[in-house]
Amino acid sequence: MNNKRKFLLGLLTTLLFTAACDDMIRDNLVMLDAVTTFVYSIDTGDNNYSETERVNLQSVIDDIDGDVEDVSFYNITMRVSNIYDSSPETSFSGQLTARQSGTSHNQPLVNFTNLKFEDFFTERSIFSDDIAGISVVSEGISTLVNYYQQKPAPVVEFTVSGTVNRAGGEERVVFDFEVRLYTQVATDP
Amino acid sequence: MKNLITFLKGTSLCLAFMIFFFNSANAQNQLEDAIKQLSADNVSGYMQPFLNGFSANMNSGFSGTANIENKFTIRIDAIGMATMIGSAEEMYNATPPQPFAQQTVRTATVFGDQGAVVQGPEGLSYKFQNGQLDMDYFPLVAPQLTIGNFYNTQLIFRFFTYSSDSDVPDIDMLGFGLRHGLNQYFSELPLDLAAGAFFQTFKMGEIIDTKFFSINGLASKEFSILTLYGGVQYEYSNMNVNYTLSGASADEDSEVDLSFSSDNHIRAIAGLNLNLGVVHLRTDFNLGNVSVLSASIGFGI
Repeated sequence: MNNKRKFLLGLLTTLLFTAACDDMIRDNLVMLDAVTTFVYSIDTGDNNYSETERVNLQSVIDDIDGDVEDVSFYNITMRVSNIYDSSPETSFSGQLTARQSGTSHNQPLVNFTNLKFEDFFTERSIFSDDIAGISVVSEGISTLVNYYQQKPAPVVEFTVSGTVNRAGGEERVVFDFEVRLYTQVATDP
Repeated sequence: MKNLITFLKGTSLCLAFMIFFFNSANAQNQLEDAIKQLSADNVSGYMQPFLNGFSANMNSGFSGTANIENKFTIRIDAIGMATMIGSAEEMYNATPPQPFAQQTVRTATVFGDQGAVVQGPEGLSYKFQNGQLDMDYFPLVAPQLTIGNFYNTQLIFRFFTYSSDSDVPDIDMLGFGLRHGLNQYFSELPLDLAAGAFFQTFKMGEIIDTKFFSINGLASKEFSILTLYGGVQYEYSNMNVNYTLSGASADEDSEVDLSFSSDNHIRAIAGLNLNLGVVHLRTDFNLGNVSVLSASIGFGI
């Protein structure tokens, strides 16, 4: 076999295997998970608290690599990440609301009653049945779902507000309250 | 020798094509992105069929003869391997994240199609990762260099590397092995016998690192230019995935560092080899938990 034939045989082998590679990629979307976290630093000398965080949902979407085909959220969680010198048995009540920036209507997502700090040292889903005192507002969840479907997605203000019920003798109740929004993004890479 | 180098470049290019199927047209690494969404509980199930096929391929095609005499040998081979991908490789049992019911769900592996959708409270739903690779068979090509024979022993090397500044992940493949002819220890054997051991690594991008180890025994019989051979092989392959989980919860360790091994451990090998002077053609069938068809074309003496 002369050199030219050897080279052609090698080239043919390469082309055959290259052809075998064709169409091995599915057209399927890649599902990407994203977590948006807002931490409310609450410091109250009386029994009331109210804190608001703004989230530009579109910027969250824009941070995703690839063409975003669909966005949805699948979980909202709450956690007390720090109580400083407050008693772990202090409880809090209130609600988490969402409001599209520029509008006046606060839409409750979840109402909660007498939740002890110590029960939220680990992250809890608002949809969990494990803890009493949490009531999800279906209409609010639907509203949030719709926010994600808007193009462009709006800026949303998430507000947590309510009252605390001291268990210790502290003058002020200080705690960090963390809300996490779990979203799933279908992308065309 | 110049043509051998040209041929090696060609086969390396082919390997690059084979590996780049992980990448979409705009050079994002689709497979890596898909993996990063998988929890530690689910990633091994999603990737297990991939590891099984990949390791079955990588542990194939080392040689087509047990005749290792004390004479100078140098060969460059392009080795093609392929495993079948059936419906059993397209689904696995996965666990959805909270707040969905913690029951396993049948969903797509990397070779599957659409990920399963689970329904949760308040009309919420979660879609498992979609499959990303569409294959009836899983092919692979590797270049191999054989040098010997000294003390009835030859060395085998496999090497490929790719690095760029683009989003395409870096690829490093390195393999080496040693084969030893056994006929010198026996008198008047009707067959040639050899034993070999091989170790290979394959690192792709930042998150996948795979190691392959195999030992085999081969028997062969020559009939003019035709050699028939067969043998048995033990092998062990391990894949490590290391990444930051995108949707990790606050209480969850977002750093996933997980190793899992292939399902292939023992295989039987049967094949034939044609020696056409400096050109060598070889094919064999490997019967094991995952079966492999392997073929090669080589140049050398």
